[in-house]
Amino acid sequence: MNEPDATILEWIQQAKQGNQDAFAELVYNYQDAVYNLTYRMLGERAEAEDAAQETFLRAYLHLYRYDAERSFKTWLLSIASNHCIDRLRKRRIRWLSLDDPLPSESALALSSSEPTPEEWTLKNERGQGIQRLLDELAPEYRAAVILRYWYDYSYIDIANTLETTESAIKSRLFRARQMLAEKLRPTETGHDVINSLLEGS
Amino acid sequence: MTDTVRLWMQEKLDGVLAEEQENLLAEALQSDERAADEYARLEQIDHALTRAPMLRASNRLAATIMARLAEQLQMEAQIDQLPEDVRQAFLLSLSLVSLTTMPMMVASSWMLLNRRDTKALQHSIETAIALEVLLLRALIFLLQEVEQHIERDPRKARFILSALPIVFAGMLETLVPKSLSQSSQTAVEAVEVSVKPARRTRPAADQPAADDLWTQLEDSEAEEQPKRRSRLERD
Repeated sequence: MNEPDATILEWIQQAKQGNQDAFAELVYNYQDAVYNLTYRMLGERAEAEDAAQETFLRAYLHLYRYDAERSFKTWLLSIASNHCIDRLRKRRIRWLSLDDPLPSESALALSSSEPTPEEWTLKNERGQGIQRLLDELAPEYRAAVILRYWYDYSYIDIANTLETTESAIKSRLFRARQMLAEKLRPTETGHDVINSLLEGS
Repeated sequence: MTDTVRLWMQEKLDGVLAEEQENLLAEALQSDERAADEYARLEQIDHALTRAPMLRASNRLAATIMARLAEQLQMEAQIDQLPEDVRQAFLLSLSLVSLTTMPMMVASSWMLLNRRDTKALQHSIETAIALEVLLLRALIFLLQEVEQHIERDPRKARFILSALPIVFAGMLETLVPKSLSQSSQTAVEAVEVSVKPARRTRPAADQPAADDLWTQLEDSEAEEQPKRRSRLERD
């Protein structure tokens, strides 16, 4: 993973000294990366925005803990992932196991809140199906998949971000893919919801 | 299909599979229809995930974050500006809460572990736990009220500080039911019976009343022992 460049390090240094403008620069630079992660983790726009805000607030308050040897983006994504995992745990949703039947199409419907342009794009593309697939995974598995596919992180990068071991990440990705592939298997009635969602991808 | 083939599939998707193993995987997929079917599904998932779009944050997100940050820093600055006596009041309140609750918690746990088969003690423990819960709730309420008062007028801190011991005494007076004094006496006796061997090693020579109490407790313990034994034999 790339080392943080000099400008970023300069902003971090100034932000540590209480310079809010410098921190604003960091926010502008990394807001998309953080928001994409929180949205993919939580699957809901308003909650994802709130989680992204919380991530940056925590980052500001704990800037003194940031190790300049590490990538700042990885550090931020680590805060965001942990925060989203906590939120998902609090939701107390019973995650679907491999033996559970697929949810009905109505149950898979996204939030009824007004969709943003991105969400309209998602609706018209495969993104919606992808999000539904992600929603089927347990939080730790979901985080590993998101960091692997959206951020192109290696096993070791994901392990550093999620503060775990490389073998644990391999295992999570393995299981997550197996679970998702299982969802692609046509049901007894021949109705394959997830597969139809992925059509065109 | 073996686990090794499954592992190769994953590593192939992640682009970390060695060339030699890649050839072995290709052979396995050709000879095993189930493996080929599974790999096809894994590839489909992999392609879908790889091509999924990266979402962009809304334009207002950064502004909202900075506004929230400013608000939070302002709040923290206000807390930092609290007068020294108000800080002392908070610290004292917290210490009092700990002082009030810790011995009760320790005593309850200790009694529970050592004398849980005594009926009267069990009743006392239940009552003590209920009282503990009640006290904690009352303390939380009290602290919230105190915070509000100090927020409105920091000068009240001194008054509240001096009134706290009286409030605590009043709370105990009101909350502890009269019936508890009876059962707590029994509980205390039971506890003393348990610690008796430790205490007997250094008796207070100038306290005949205390010695009498130990003798009484010894007698009652001696009376109880055959009863317990017969109960055990019956069971």
